[in-house]
Amino acid sequence: MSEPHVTYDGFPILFFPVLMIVLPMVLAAGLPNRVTETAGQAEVRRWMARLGIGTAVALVVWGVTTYFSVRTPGYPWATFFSWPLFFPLWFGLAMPLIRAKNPGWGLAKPDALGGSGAVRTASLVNRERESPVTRAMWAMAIVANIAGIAAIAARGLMPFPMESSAASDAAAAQRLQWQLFLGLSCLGPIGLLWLPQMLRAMRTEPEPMDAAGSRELADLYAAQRRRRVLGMFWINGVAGPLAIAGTFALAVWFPDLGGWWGVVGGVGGSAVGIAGAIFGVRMSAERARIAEVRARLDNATSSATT
Amino acid sequence: MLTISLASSVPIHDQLVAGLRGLIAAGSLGEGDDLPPVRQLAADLGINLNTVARAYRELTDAGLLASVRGRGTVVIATVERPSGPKSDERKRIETGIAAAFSDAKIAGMSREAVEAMVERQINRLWRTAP
Repeated sequence: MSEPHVTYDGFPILFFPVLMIVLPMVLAAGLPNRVTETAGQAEVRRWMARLGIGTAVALVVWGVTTYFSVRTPGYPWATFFSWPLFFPLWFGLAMPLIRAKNPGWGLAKPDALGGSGAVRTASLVNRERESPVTRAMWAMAIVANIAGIAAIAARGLMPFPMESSAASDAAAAQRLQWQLFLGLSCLGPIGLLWLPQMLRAMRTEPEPMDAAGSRELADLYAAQRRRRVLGMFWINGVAGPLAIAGTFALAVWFPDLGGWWGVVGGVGGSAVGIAGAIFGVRMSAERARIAEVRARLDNATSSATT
Repeated sequence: MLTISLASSVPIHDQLVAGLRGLIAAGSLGEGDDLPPVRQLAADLGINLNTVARAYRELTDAGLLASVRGRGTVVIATVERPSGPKSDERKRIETGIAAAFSDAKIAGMSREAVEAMVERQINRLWRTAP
């Protein structure tokens, strides 16, 4: 075995997979357990144990690759690519645990209702036309998207390479990087063009009412819809493009710190992604709770009529 | 609110049409009111998209609804466009009333109970009439 080869800026690459491996456990275990029956509790414990074992195994895989990484040149990339272990942990173990903790998870669609689902009630409010995103917010998103691109584009007005670069091919490399980053950052505004449609589709997601069309349920749906749409808007319309274009802008203006901007971009991008994942799980859990309320109201109506 | 029953022998499409006509007749839906998009209503009720689209089309043909660019489906009238001679329309309604009264009698309802029911419906639909 040779001496360790991990450089100072290689540490984030080594530890990023740990974050991704532990994330499913943290998210799933952090959600409140809404099960009251004994059988349901046992199911939750079983999935919790499976997720714990799965996470431990994934961490061992990461540990083994890390052990070799620090002794082999160029090997840190092998440990970096242990992060996709997130996917089997998330979809295979964490999601079943989250479902087990929320008995109303499967009731979010009207088809999932049993006998009480024979009577279905719908609100006649046109939700497509009720957007919580104001014009000022859209203006903010447009500014955020354009500002990043403008900052990258402005670098093109300066000579290549920057004075600090002494290498002969630095000018071509920096120009190419600038063009690449400028092109990639333009994807943000393209995404912004689709966002209104995406938000409109979110507002028309099914909101099945109880048989009596209770005000309580309508209010719960309205509040949840507002949070869902606003969350999606801020993550996709502002935070995402800002993280991408901001990192690119810093990278083209301060090329000497290129490696660090990669790390900052990776961490920023991951933070936005993780925020999106937490947001998604929270929204699904809220929908499950609303489905429980609907089932309760439906049961109350059917027992009142029989 | 629009309610349908999957357990009913009445087809869902007919329930939708009757439900929307009932809301228009009762004044719950007035001229200029927006209706939800077909996709939204179908998703909320957990029924086929085409069933809702067909119901909207039928009410559009009757002159009660219209598709307006940028707004979707809108209530444009609370009185149906006549599809034939006035006498035919009266005859159709009277046949419907006769069938409902026959059902009430066969179900064992008293005359007073039926009269009270009729009174309730008249008050519900014509309460705002001058």
